[in-house]
Amino acid sequence: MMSKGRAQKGDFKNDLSVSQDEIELADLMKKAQQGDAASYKVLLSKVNQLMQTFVQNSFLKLGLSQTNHEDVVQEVLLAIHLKRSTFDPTQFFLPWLYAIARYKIIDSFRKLGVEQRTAVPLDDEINNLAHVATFEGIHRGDVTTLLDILPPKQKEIIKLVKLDGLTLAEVASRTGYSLSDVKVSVHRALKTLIDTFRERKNEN
Amino acid sequence: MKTEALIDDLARDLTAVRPVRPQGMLSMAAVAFSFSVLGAAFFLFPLRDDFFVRLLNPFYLFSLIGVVFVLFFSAFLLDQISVPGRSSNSKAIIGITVVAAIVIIEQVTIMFFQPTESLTTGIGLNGVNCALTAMLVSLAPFVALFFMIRKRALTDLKKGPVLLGVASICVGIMAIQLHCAVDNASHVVLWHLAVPAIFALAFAVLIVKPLIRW
Repeated sequence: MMSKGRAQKGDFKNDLSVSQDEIELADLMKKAQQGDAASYKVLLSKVNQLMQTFVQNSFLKLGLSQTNHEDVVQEVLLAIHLKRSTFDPTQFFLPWLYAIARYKIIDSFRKLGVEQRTAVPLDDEINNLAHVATFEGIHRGDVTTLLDILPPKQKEIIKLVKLDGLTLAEVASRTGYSLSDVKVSVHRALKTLIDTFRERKNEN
Repeated sequence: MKTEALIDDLARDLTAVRPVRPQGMLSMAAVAFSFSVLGAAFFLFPLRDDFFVRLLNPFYLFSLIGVVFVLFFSAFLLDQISVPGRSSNSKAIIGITVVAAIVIIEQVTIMFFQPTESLTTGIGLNGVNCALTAMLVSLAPFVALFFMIRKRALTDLKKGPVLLGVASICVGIMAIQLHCAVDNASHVVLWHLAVPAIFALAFAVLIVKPLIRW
């Protein structure tokens, strides 16, 4: 007999509204709980496909960059592996899976969110600087001289990024600063340079 | 690491596991375990001498039953939210809140019908031992429930520690209600209920939350 307010899988055995995915994944998970590695591999591959879309959509809704979504998919797969005993074979599989995925997405939002909310949209800043520089017709030598107004750390980083053309990650690994530190330094340096340009332009 | 490689590694690492027990088993196990803890605690903190006489008092009896009720339902909810995909039952939440509120209101009402001298007597620091005893007894169910939940996958990190604190302190409150012979209502409200409950909840929220993350 179906308990009130609690849908169990057995109650819907012959119900066509239960998706084939649900039935198939639940069966695979049951076999995985018994130690069947082949079924488990198939299950994880199918879950991986489902999670790629789910995590991407969730990241989009939360306003997070898509660059880290693969990490979160992997974290979900790991969580499924570590917590596979918490799947109750009398219950549905998909609600269990999505509850784990939601938890992991929220967890990564907490970790990534702060970093990404404080991150600076560098493309805008770089375009802005390029725009100013073009108008002023400044040569490389002038830029090098201009960089002297920056503190040594910012000067070093902006030289590597703007003049030597390294990526932020490459600069971080070469200098030993953290990636967020490099981003912030570039942002501050560009701001200082833009302000200086504007001041000089007004003076002229 | 590529996701496909991770899947291969996880499949290689697979071992058989026993699936989680059906819903409701944890709450029954929690009540059974709590009664065994209480039984063991009576060696250190024996039953009050007038226990069987006191049981005839409906207020005393109701407060004991109420605490068992709150213990059962908080463990039941903990059981639900510690398994992903099991939705938490709002009726159980309302049940816990109502019963806990009735027990507290009942005790506070009795307190206000007492003369002023007895109120101040009950609030005196002599009740610290009672609060400490309650917290000491609740340690065993706290640890047991904590490890049980840790093995699972708690998805609600706000409700989880609170329910864990409530369930475990109920055992301590019951133990002190059965042991302490002071019936002064202000003593009961302050040292048997409020202080142990506040400390248990604060402890659970501060300590459990970071440790139970998975």
